[in-house]
Amino acid sequence: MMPSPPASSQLLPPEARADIQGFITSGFGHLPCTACLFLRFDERFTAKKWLALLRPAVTTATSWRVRSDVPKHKPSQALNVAFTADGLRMLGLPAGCVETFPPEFLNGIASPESSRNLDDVGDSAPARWELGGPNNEAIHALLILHTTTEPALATERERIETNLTGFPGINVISTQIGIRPSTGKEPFGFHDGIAQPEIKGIKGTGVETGEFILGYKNEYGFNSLGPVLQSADDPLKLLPDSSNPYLKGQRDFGLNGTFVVYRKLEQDVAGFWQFMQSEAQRRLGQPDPLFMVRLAAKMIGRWPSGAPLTLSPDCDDHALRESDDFLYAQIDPVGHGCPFGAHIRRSNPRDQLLPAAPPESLHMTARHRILRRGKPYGKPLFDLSVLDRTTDVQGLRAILDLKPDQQPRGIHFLGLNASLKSQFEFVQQVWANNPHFNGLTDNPDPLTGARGEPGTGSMLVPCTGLDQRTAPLPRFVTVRGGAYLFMPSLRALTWLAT
Amino acid sequence: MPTNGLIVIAPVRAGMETALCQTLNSFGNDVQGTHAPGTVAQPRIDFVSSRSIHFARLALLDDPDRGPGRQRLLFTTDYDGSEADHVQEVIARTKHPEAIWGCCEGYEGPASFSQFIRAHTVPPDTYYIAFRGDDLPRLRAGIELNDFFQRWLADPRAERVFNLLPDILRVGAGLRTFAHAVWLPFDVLLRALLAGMEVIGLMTRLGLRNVLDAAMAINATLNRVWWVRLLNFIFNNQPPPPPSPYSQACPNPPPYPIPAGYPPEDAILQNQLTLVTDVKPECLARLRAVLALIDLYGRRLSTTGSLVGISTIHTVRWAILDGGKRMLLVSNYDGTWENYIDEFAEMILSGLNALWTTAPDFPAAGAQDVAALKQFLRKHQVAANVFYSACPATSVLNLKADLEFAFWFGWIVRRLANGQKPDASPASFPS
Repeated sequence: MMPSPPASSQLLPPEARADIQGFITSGFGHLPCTACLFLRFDERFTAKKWLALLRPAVTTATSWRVRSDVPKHKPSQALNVAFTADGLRMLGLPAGCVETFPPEFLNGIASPESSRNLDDVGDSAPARWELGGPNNEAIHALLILHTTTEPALATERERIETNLTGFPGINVISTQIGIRPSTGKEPFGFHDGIAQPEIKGIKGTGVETGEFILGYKNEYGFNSLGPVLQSADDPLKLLPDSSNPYLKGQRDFGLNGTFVVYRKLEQDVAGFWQFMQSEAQRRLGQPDPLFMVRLAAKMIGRWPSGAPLTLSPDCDDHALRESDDFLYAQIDPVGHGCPFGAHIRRSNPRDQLLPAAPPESLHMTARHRILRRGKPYGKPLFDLSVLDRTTDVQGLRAILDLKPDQQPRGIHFLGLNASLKSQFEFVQQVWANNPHFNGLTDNPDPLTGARGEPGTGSMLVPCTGLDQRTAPLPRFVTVRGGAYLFMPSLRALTWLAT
Repeated sequence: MPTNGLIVIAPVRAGMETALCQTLNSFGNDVQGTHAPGTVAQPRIDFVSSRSIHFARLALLDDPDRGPGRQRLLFTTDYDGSEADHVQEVIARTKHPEAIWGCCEGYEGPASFSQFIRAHTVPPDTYYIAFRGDDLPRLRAGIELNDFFQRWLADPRAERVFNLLPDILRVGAGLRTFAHAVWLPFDVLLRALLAGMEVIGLMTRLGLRNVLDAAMAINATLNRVWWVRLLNFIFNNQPPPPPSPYSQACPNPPPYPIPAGYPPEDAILQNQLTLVTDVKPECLARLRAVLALIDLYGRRLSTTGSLVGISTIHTVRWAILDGGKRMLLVSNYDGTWENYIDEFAEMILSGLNALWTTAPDFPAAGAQDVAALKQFLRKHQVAANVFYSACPATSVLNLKADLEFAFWFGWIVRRLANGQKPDASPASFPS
């Protein structure tokens, strides 16, 4: 990826950034502690009153750099809010405006279509979820709180919850806590959250702003479509007029907003490493921890430190732990480093979407990216740092014979995109779940992908000699909850609060 | 054996529309390659037992020229062998033909089925098939062989067996590369020569201007093909930039309904698209030239498994209907609908424009306005009542690899693994 010089005209003006919620443009890397408060409104008036008080506290995308000669002033906490379709209706958004939201958002993540696209079946079926879905309380809003430390998170969370008690009719259905450890490791033991598309309007380079924020030019060359409101429903002129000539006389409710997907993904860490162990036993006749780490890395596409297999095919390299500046077609065309079936290669195929040539592949890939804002939850099953010390063979034996401890652990996945259908669901359905991705056969995403008939779905590991195939993959990740939400602009928040 | 495409469009007798729709829905959905339970005694066409039908589809199209509410039955197949044999097979495999074909005007019993089909056959103006020379038994043998090989890869002993014969396999790969390198220039030259001769024929038949305009329109975004890039450079041929960044897409389009009982979309690997769009009378002559040229690209200039770089299409055909008032598209493709349209918009944008600027309601900015393009396509899409695929779990890319694998390495591996002679039947291996 050739970096191009920032073109100032593509950068979002300060007034736009003041209207965009900060969670969209920043992962708040300095705020590792997150609380997701899921709310239900019983009554419109109270909800609006609460929202009016909340609005000034919402973190915006306003640049942290006040002056160029002064270091950035990073906030010590961040607060953002998003709503489900039910929540927007509850807040009195007219039906005419609600209808202009895309159907996948209106039907929700637990709809039969979305379940099919995301392969939320079996243990992952919405009927079995503990949050969202048909058998739990309806989610109306999600409040996302970021802080620097766990005590600060507890204090701030308590403050919000105490505050909410003053608003009878607003119920906290569930609070989900996610903490990103300093190692950046997710529960399986791999450094996560490295690859992140850059927003052109913020960085001056990267993926077009309209892929992540509604109302701006997207990778198709058109402004991404958002919901609109009849002018008559906005007598105070809180919202801007739609600049789209095909939508004359309507107010732009979507501008500077975006769609959020929340998924609670539970990880079977013991099962994951047991599978690697059984493969080692099957291939080598003995449980070799180095083989296990290598096979797990092949499934993910990065070594435990985060170093990409494409750049370091033979062993982990801590110098490359944050490395994300690489392409496949030139240096890893057949997957001898990073297999085609690996998780990172299918969530971001970069310049190799076969049979298209690299420029077309890059272009098609850019049309289906998401911003990931995930945070792990639960205590690690074992000391994950052993995975980074592969020379310490004794220490590495910690991954042998792991037993499940019945403690839940996994990731609170939060994704942001302008279209749930053609970004989040597309990546999940066409790239991850698809056992035929890039010409593969019977090879779903080993982490999140679908599992078809029992005995099918295995991982192909291309080798310089004969390729190797694993035994059929068990399901390592189970969906425990989810929601599709809309994160409105500050102006749209004002409209909702009025 | 070449594979051919059949399109039959027969008017449904007045008043029989609902009954036919119910009959079709009850026997349909055989895409998984197995009989739906409880349908054996029902009226149906037993595609699953066929050894020559790759794809089949039955759908009910509106018949506006005959009046409101009238419908016609669309029946399309991709088959190996001669048309006469195929038609005989279809009627022989139809259980209770009266309940299906008997609902159509002009059907007078199984004895005269061939005449009935001939009378209602619509010749495709464009027909593309990913594997033109490979009949169904050969495709199935390739799939079976690769399945076997993939299972073998999961066996830890495979590596030990493989190590016995790496040199032969390397020689095989080397031979393939060498043969490709020697044969390729001849192949390209031969194809170009034949294509050139055909283009001259088209110009005399359809008009010089129409063919030139059509070629310019199709080629505008095909710069990845070197000779097209050269022509586009010489003639300064490029698509106009979008007039504005505003999409024409409606913020709340009507949902695309797939009624209950119809084959679901995006549920399995392969999908189908049936589309009927209107044609502006002034565009008809150029549209015929566009279709003829796409047909030519598909036959002469495309390599196996790829239509100018697109490898999600198993078969696709276009036909002009009703004396030029409408255009029919029937395609069988891999992956989801969204992915299919997105790939088209990336890989052959100018081709989409050349085809559908002929429709009165095509987006003003053309196919570049992908959001509006998708709404346009959904508006004209017809849900099929029956969709059958002989190899539903195999993508074009899979088949391409399977066939190549079967050709070069198949028999060596099978012999090594089984310690026995390979299946010598002609259907199993390319000669």
